[in-house]
Amino acid sequence: MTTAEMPQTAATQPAQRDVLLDVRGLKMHFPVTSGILFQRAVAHIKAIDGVDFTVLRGETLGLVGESGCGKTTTGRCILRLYKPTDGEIWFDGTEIASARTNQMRAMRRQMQIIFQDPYSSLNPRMTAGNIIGEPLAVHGLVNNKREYRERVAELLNNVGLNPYMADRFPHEFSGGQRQRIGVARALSVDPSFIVCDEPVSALDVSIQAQIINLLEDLQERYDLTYLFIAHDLSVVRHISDRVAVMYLGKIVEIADRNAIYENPQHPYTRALLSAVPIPDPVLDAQRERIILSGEVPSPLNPPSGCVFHPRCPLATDDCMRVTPEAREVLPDHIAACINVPGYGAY
Amino acid sequence: MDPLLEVKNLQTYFFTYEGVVKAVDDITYEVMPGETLGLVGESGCGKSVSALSLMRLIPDPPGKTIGGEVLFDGENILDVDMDDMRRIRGAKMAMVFQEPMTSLNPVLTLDRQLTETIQLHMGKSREEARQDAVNLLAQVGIPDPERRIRQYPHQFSGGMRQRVMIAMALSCNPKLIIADEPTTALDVTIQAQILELMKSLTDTLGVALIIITHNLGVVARYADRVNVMYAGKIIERGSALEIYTNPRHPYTVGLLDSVPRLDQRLVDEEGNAAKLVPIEGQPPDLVNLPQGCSFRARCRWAVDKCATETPPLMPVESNNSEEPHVSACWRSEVLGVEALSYAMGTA
Repeated sequence: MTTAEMPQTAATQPAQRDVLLDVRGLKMHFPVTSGILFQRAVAHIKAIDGVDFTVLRGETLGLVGESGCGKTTTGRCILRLYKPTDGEIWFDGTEIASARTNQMRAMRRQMQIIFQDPYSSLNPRMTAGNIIGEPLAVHGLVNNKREYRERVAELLNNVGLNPYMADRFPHEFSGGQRQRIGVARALSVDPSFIVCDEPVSALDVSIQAQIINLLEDLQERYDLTYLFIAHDLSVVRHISDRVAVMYLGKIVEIADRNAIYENPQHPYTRALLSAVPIPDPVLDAQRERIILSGEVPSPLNPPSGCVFHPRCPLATDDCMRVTPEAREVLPDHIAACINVPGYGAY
Repeated sequence: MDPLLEVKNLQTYFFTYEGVVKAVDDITYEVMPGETLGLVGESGCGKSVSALSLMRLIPDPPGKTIGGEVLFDGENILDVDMDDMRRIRGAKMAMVFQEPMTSLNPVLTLDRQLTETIQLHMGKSREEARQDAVNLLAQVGIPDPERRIRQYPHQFSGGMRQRVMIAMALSCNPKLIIADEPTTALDVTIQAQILELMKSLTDTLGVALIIITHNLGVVARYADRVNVMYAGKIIERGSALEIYTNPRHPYTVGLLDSVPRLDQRLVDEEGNAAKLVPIEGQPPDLVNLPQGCSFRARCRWAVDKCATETPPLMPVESNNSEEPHVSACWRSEVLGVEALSYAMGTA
């Protein structure tokens, strides 16, 4: 593919589209403290170290990476469940990284989260109805008991549960049903944006498909925008419009779903994709396999230059010195690697 | 060639206050020396319990292996007493558990944990055992083994701990290794490292391997033959190629259909986004199994006969005559035709 003929305007296109969420230079450093009475920070874990991306209205952005790469922290920073160390988060024209707590509470009517573990994210002492209904009361969305009950019943229906289940406690539900309760709770305030943090990874394979289909149906029906965080690359491919790949607190590649999976540019993305086995022995045997050596380094003391260089099959001496910034390597295809052909051409 | 392991009509039940849980209900299979066998199924289908039964590690009470035979190397290990069992476990058959975080003793160094089995089973001195252990760690790809062997489990990452578990399983040159979800707790790139390591070591050492997993991709890549389990029973068995290209049980078809795959088409002929086809409903309660086929309630192809008669494993038409392909479904012939159209849709 030649990059020279591509129109230069491609770089500015995303800004003209309807951007719902714009994250710029986001950093989240957690202090490591020492001392008994007077705790002082002795080091920082750089969970997210300068992340930029946008999410367009109505789309699903998949965020993939291995454990500890900062994908969950990114999701939580956007909802301001953590206060970011640095950077800006623009949601629908409002900057929320520096918003006050009570401003943020109002903002959370617009943005919600579905958690990974349906076993620990539901209060075992509350009924399903109360779990789903609590946000309605917090945000004053219902006027009386009758409206409350009707709305809870409607929400249960929407996620494929029976309204009579409202009086049951979480332990009476299976894993898949619990995740449906988590989805209903997120939907209760009628948000426009939902962070789905590994919503299916704790579920059995035959149940995963049920929840994925539910999320897709709801997106269509309520015009939702998703940030879909997962480590399962096949699931992300299925549900996302665009995909961002994270490694050790940085985004290494962002592009359209088809571009990422059919023409990955960053060496980490390539290795990650080749590591996923396909349930077909014939096809699988024909695929290129890149087995990465070593493990993800500690975010406490990340490598110099490109954080991926100790494991990278393409690494050169420059990679140890230069921290590659994310640049367009193909139209609308951003990668952070100096060895990708086309890097710096734009 | 005689099989290394023959499991015949194995039944392991758990006797609880709610009733009898038929976790493993009459399963039969064999493992040839040096082969890799995949055991696939969802949580609660009995795959782990069947493995623990082979090792005689079922907690009793409430669990009990109430019937069947397990012939390992010509000996029925359900009959041997616990002292003899202790000689077989670790020495002839070893296990790699799912969670590398919890299956190592946190208060002992690796030295103690690795040399214990070697001293016990191989009758070696402490110094010899230590040298063996260092060699094993090097073999499973742990850098600087002389220094690392003096460390505690918490000083190792998840992938490294799983390497230690593999070293431990290999330490007494077993003939069979049972790996129960060996990579479920690990990241994809580490998962690939560990599976490649297990495959190459078992190949070079000629050790038979049973991989228990819910990940169909892992089985496709590494297993020679596959057993699919559902609700305590094996419902389909065949070569890996057969199971994936010619599935003949509705559950296997459903499982393959419901998993998003990297090679799947994302849009259909009309340009609409392709949907996953989930298996509706929930797996049945093992205390109160329905009569007839236990998959009936979730099955698209069920007929009246499925409600009354439990289908046994029956041979189906296979593309490979050497390796029998069996399925426990009354309608496997009909299914063969319809599953074919499925396979073409995702090619």
